[in-house]
Amino acid sequence: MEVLSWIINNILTQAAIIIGLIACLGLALQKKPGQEIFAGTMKTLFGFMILSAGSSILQTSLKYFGAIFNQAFQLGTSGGAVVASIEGINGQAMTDLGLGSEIAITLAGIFIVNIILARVTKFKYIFLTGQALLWESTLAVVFSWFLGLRGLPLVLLASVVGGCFATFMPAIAQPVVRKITGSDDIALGHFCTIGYMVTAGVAKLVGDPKDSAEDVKIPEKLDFLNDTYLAVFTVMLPFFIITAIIAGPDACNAVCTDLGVSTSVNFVVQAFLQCCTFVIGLYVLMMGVRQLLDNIVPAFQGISMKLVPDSKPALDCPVLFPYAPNSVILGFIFTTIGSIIGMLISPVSGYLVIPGVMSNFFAGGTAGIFGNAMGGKRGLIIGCIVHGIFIMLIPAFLTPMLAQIGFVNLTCTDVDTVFTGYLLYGIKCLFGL
Amino acid sequence: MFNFQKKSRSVAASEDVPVAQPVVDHDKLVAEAAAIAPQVEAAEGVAKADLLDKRGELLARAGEADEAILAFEESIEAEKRMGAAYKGLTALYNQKRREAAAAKDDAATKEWFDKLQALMQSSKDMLRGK
Repeated sequence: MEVLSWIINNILTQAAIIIGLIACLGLALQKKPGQEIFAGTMKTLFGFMILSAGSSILQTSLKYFGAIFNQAFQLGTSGGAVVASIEGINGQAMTDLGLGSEIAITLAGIFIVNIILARVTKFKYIFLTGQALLWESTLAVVFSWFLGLRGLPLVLLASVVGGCFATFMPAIAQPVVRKITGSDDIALGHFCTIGYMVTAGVAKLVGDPKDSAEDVKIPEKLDFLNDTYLAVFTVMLPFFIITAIIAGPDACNAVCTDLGVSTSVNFVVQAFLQCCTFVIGLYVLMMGVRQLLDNIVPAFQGISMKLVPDSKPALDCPVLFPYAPNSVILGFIFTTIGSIIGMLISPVSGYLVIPGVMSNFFAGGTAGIFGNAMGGKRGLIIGCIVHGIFIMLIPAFLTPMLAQIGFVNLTCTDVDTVFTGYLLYGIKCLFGL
Repeated sequence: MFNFQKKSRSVAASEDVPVAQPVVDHDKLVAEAAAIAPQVEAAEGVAKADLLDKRGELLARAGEADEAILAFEESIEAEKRMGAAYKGLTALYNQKRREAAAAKDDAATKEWFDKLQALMQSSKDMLRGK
């Protein structure tokens, strides 16, 4: 009993070790040699620790930004500014909220439920985008925890909900994906499907699919997005600097004192440094996420494809980019326009939501492809502006609940994960949990 | 309520209604593709890529997946751009992956899936100017 108690208290409660053991299981199931199993297990464990470090760095700058924003713009006693970053949400959930073990186990659970549903139903979609599954696992666990569930019931509910989203979201998008690719061989595995279908619906109503955006001559690439973190920095810097200037030196220095940050530096320079800290935090966090998933995801991808050989792989959104490259670029531009409009409307939720650049590229670009397929140029433009507003307002209304749960100055991006939260919150209200 | 075996209307519509398949003249397509080969050797850059794309499409329609893959990969080497080569390779890599999974060849399944992933990464990088 003492041994069991020791194992539970010292191993099974340690998220880093649990995550390492999941990778170990995945590698062992693939019959990898012992050395590879050991290396993969340790690298996954290190990945979680890198993620934790990144989340910690990110939080410092988010607390700073949230505090100076509240000094500059009074959005109400419980309001403020939040940055749309599903990566940050994942980081905080796994570390500060202590849900790392549950999220990792649920990630495996979602794979299992997806495989079961693909085998027993007509929907043979296997969701193979690792990062997206991690985000879905995060929201499913967080809101199952919010329902008051703990331990096995939490993991079971989160796995079932997440597994259903992983199976049925590709199915919902498939009619439009078939139109885009001209075949039924591949599916879309990206948890922004609800936003894409909204874009497609609007485009179909207002557009003409024969007038394609692919017939227009536009720049072939967005050099601005060449370096992810430079792009994020370029977008976030004006927010930090302008907010600091409006808040004023006294308010900014008071915030720094509260947070234990140096006040010997000029307040505008401090805002600049905190913006850099935000970007570095995101960089380190994403490095941790990639390392964490590097050994877990291939293991489960291989097992999934083996157990459901007639499956349709649901792949990350860049699989559609070659079919409509102009639409990707135009989709990004018009989704960004829409998200700026959405940002200006978002204070109705009590929070100003600052859009995520990379989310706008991938989700906006893919929405552009959907919009063009259903409504040509006009459908793409109007559909993507609506999409931009949609992907800002839907997370905005979830933000009060996220703040209540304990997230600091963050909200989600990928809308399907937001609807996972709404679904579980709906269950909470329905059953009075 | 939970009868998952019951076909939904949209799935039934796409599966039960027979779709007229175009008649494929394999030998004619292969001959046309072979006729392009000498022109490819003499060309460079975009012109070479255009010819390789055409060759790849003809071979893919003829069911010669391996030769089509080679043509499309060579096209991307000649001129890295979005278009027929990327679309062709997406479909062909997935086809080869499916065939390997059906044959229970784990190594080949992983190999073709990794090629698909690498192709997606490449298209993402290209649009971002990398």
